[in-house]
Amino acid sequence: MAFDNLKAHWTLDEESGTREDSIGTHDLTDINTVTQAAGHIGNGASFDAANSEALDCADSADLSAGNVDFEMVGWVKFTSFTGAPRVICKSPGGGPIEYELTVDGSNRLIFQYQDAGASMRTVTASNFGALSTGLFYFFHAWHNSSDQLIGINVNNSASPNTQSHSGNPPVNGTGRFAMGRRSEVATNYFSGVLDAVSFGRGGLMSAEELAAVYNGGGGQTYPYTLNLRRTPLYPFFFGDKR
Amino acid sequence: MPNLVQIRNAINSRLADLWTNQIVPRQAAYFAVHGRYWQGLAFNALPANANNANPGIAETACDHTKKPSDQAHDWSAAGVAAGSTWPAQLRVDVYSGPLGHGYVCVARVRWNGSVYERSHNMGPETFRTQDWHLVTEVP
Repeated sequence: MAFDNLKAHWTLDEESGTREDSIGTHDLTDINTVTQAAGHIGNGASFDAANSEALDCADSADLSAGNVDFEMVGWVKFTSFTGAPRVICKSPGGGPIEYELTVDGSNRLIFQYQDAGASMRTVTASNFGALSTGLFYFFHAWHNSSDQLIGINVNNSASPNTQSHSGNPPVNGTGRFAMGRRSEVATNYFSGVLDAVSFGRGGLMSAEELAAVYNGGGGQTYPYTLNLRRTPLYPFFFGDKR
Repeated sequence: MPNLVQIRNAINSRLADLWTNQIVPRQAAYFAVHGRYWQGLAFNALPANANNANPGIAETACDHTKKPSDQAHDWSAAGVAAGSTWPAQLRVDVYSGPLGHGYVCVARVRWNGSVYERSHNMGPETFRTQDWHLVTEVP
């Protein structure tokens, strides 16, 4: 079935407090009152770095990295790029960083992790280029274990960026999963809005599935469906007895 | 330069007093009125105890007017009298999760180039209480 490997999805529609996971049990704790704002699909979670706002939940096999396929998709809007903000992060206080979605000094989205040797492995969405504040972007970041690479794409473009990790995959750590800051270290707070974030593990979405989630830029509410053609009924209207 | 144990002991002593006599009773009163706990933004710079000839423990000045934009009460208005200087950077985070509401007091200090932190939780997410540990800074 489509979208089988998704382990968590947060609509982030809530006004405040706990943000519920629509798939599993990975409900997010609200730290310092993340508020609600207009999202790309309905409402989203609005973070203010000046107020040290974030969402987090406990470590889980569903949300962990490691030498497995995993990915995250969602919609993000920045109100500022200062302070190397962490949009999504999973790391214990003492490292290594399992994964981070953040921006570089040129306001390009990057996906990175620290391997077992503590070397940072980074892929930059350089093909898409610099983001602007005030606009929603669809992000897709992933680790492909069989091809030994990490990748990132913005707005489901035909030119994602990938980077080989040469057999140095992400590690499966024990840190908390966080949105809006570097988890557990509590730095690098994010200012902006996150909406409709999904996390998958144990496989990667197909191009068809990603296109359905992106939906030409309009997005799609969860549960996701593929845009199937509706052909089964009409033959019966015309007496077709095939 | 004071050693790390001396610094931790000094902070622990100040923190124990502030926690017991100020933060816990003020938070209880605040929650009773507002239905949420009070958040205290870090009100001072990170004290740095450098490797120099200074024999004392570094303290930085506190700004009791610090407050998040979505909360009316700063440190003074909340009735938390923490003093004019502190040997650790102090903040109070609040949370609302599946298990309920709580708050965490976090103290940070730099010693010999490294950042150390301890935190104390009040509420259902008990794992947020952590003894002194090194905070790894990565780029």
